Amino acid sequence: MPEGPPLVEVRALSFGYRGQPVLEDVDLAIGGRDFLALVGPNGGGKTTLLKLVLGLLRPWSGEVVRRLSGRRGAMGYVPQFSSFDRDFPLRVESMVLMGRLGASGLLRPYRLADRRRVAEVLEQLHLSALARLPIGELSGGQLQRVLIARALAGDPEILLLDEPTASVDPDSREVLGTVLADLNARIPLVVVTHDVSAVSRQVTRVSFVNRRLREVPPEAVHHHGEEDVAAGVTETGGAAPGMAGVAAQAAGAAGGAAGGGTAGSGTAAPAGGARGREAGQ
Amino acid sequence: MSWSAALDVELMRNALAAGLLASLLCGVIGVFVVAKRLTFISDGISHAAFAGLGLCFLLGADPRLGALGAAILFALALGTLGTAVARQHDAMIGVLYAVGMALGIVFVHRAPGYVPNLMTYLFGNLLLATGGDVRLTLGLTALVLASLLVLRKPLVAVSFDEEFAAVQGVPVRAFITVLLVLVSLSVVLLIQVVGVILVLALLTIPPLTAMVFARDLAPVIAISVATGLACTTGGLALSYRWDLPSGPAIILLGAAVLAACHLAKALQRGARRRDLPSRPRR
Repeated sequence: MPEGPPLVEVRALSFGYRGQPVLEDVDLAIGGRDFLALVGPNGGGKTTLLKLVLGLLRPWSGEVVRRLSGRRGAMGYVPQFSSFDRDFPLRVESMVLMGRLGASGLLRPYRLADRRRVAEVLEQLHLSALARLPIGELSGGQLQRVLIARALAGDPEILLLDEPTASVDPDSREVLGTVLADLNARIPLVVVTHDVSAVSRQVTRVSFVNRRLREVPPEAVHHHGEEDVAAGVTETGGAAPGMAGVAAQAAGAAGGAAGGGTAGSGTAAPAGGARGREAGQ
Repeated sequence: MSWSAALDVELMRNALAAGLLASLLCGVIGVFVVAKRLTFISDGISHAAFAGLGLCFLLGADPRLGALGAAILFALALGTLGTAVARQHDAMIGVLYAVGMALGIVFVHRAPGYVPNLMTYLFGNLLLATGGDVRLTLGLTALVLASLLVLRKPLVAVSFDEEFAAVQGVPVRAFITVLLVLVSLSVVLLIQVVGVILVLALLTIPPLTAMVFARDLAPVIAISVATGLACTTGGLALSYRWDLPSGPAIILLGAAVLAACHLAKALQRGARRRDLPSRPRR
């Protein structure tokens, strides 16, 4: 845990789509040099939680407290590919330059310092040779690195990444690991991931998100795949009696009894798993 | 009459001036329309503009103002609602478009006294452009281009990736609304050139042509403007030479240019593939 108050604090937060709850009563504190992995089933609310922390969505209840410098671009965000159009006429360097948007002022032209910073992050992510390529011609791994470069160009005070390893080739994965480790020496990172093994060595904290959030010891997931996460959680002892129900829901085998037992809330409907999957997208 | 004689005629001069200004405009704003996928929405703007135009005819007011007012109102409503909502309910909104169109036609039909030629508004007629039209076009073109220049950073950001723009501190809804208003101003000007029905083609053909060759925003805009200018001038010349309606002549020439560019690109690619059979795909 960080020294001093955490950089971002989520308190008793609830949120949902179209009247259907996706997240309930979530508490989370991020700061210091945390490397937090958010794991859990599809539709469990991982991406939604990230967007709430970013301020892209407004919570139904509860709050998100951000203790950042307040300058534009203080939050770094690496979205999934689906958040933008790969056919958009844009070169790699132009896209990364957009990461300086907040830092450079919305209406002022980009300056030399902005372009220098872009050149630095391109170098850091081994993208210099691709700088003038249109983004539509990149491989998945290359595009992923461009997204991270764009986020880093703004010199963020915290970085939130959504599935950064989803379509990454071995080369890119190695670069990514190094860059994230370097970065984590200075700022906290939050990674939404299906594949904990891809970032496992660096992760210091793991939270399992499925409507509710529960922190689990990182040892439980290190060197295991996604399927093992839920199993690892239940193995950690009787303190988490509901997690077996959560995992069962995720597998589409939700029973009224198992779902209803989730964390003792008694509110989970039998169809909770399926509903969450649909709403979380 | 020779070409130079044709240019001496005020009618032709006005037509050319209005056409060139409008194509400068469509070359730039069209890139945003295509890249941000606003074609369906731009279509709606043109239909709303037609309803406003008809209403002003009925009331005896300046139809250009009616078109402008209705288009801007539509853009503001859509900006408040969000463009994602429009895409989600596209079938329903398609009905609304038709209603706008039908209203416009009914209004014009019921207008007392002189009944204007509907064809002029549906398909445009540059040859009817007056000196006043040219001045209005000049003013609005300058306004739209200056706005785009000043606001280019946030406008490009919200066009490309709304969520990232929001994280960077851009008021996304506000800038989407600004973009839609700029599109509506452009649409109203373009209606004069090619009419309500063909306005979409003039917004999309130049950027699509540019995107065959260029893959970054600045060159795409440059080529798009050049294409727009060439199509308008060429279309006017064709219309003069063979006595064709000017709007359709401009659009047909544009479509031919777009097709030729795609063909040239495909041939070029084929040739490269034959030269370098083992070239790895990036």
